[in-house]
Amino acid sequence: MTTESVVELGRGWPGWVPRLVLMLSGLGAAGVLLLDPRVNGIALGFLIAFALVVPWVPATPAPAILIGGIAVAVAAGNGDVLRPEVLAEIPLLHLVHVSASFGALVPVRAVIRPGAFARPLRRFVVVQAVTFAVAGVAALLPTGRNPTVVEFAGLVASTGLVGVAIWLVARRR
Amino acid sequence: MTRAGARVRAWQEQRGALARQAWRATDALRRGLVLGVALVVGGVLLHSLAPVLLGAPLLASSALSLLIPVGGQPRTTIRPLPRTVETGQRARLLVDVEPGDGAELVAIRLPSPHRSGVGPVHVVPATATTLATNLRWDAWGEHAELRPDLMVAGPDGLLAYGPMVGDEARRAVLPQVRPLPPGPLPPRSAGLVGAHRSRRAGDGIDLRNIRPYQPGDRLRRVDWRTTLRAGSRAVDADDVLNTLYVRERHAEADADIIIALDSRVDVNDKLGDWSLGEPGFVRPNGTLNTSVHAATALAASYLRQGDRVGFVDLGRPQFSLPSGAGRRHLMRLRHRMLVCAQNAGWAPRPVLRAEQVPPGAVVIVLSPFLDDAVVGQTLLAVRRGSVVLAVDVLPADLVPDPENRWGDAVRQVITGEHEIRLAALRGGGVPVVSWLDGVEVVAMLRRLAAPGRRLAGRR
Repeated sequence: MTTESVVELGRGWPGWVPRLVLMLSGLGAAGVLLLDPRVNGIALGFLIAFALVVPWVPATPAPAILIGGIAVAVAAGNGDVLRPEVLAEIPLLHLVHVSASFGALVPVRAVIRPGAFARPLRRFVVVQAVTFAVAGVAALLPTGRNPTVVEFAGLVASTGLVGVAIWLVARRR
Repeated sequence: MTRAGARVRAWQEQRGALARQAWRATDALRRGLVLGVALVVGGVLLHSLAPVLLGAPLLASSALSLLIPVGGQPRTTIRPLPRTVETGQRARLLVDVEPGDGAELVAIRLPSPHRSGVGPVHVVPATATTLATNLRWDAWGEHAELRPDLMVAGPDGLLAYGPMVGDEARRAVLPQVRPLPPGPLPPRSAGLVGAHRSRRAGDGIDLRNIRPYQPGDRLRRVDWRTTLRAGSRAVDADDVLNTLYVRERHAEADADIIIALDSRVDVNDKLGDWSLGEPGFVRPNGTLNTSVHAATALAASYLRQGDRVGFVDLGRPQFSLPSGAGRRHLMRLRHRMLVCAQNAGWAPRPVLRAEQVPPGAVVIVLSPFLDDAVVGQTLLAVRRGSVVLAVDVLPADLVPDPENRWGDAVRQVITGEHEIRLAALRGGGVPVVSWLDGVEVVAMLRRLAAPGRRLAGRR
């Protein structure tokens, strides 16, 4: 037994911290839509209200509805593909997803040792770095009509991705 | 619920329990995969980069999490703790955790170092193999102190094992011993050892008398100074032998004390709370708590000086304990009081039989004296010839129920009846004292043991 492996229980963050992060990131993600004047006010109000409700029910489909709704609202907007609201939503929606998964597991009255989230945090940073790298590459690529082969490859890859996802979900059930 | 419905529910619960004992995907994994794939594929099909960029992190983090293999059965091992502990005692609790392969987070319910009880859920990294906390036992009794509910989460909380409800560990916390200044008790000559001075002559320390020599006296008992002083007046040799003087000493004797505890009632100073008691629950400032602490203190004090102490539960006579001496007997008494407190409850007829009280023993009745039956039993013990001391443990200032308009009237009735009962005890020759840290009780026992007092049942 090494000294590092012994954890002294007692102090730590309260168990509602993941839910607070979920609420703040959800509100942030919904609030970013204010930058886009074309977003419907009622839809925006609905998303903000949903972002306030989600922390109380993180283990339900509510986070998925929030993420999906915001993603659709962003995708429906016109303008530059890499406009600021899109770049802001990338980490925020990811944070909603991750904090909702931890909020669903950790009881509100739990005591969280700060080091507990070190590995998920590292993974979050790596995933975001890769995503922004992809966004950077996409910004450099020429726009216009794709060759037929690329379109076909894209469709096959998409179909394969769906198949793999269904297989993974079914295997872990 | 119908019988068929109950069977379906039981089957569902069994199925759920089995599912919790294996690694399973959480809703977050389905959400990440479904939303990630939908956004990426939708973006590709619509030739829109924004949905792809929004869905990519969800898909990537889910895929990364699935690349890490998880497996094994998480286990916890609690290092042994003492079986019996004292109130106020502390101990170090070490729990070894084997979270299984690929685990990232461990959520386990363990006691908090600042509070007693099973404690909150602690979320720690799965790299921790040993969890340490300090246990503290503040209240005596038998409590659930440990229930290590366990859940282990895989990467990003997308896979989970559990939650599994831990086995509840209960521990006997003995009432604290608050020693009193031990006082003299009316001695009885059953044994020739003890801390009390008997009236009989014997081999003790205290000087009883100086008297002329008698056949059978030991020579070392001869008081030569007195003999010489008296021998100077002798006229012949025979007269010298007749004038030998010996020092006579008091014998030593032990004493019996019988502690009679009224476990039938447990009330505190708030009249409104009297009807809210639960079986097995001892009120922190209630009469049962006071009685147990008083009994422990008295027993410890008198056992320490070599006396014999017996225990009688007035409500549950089967839990009574015959007289005994020594440290082990004190432990036995404290354990027995724990059992009595767990089984405490109202019984209409208190029991204090003659065979439970040895001849010449002092009986100390610890009770709030809230019914006539306990007064009757106490007076009956006096009539049998025992020396009886009544210790009233009812709080001095009762607080009426504020939610009841008759609260104050009820308080006055209870207080008045209580006073009448105490007066009846005094009238029957039973000294009545309140338990105020035992000072009054010890003083009264000293008075009972005074040489001039005529004590019934004393040899």
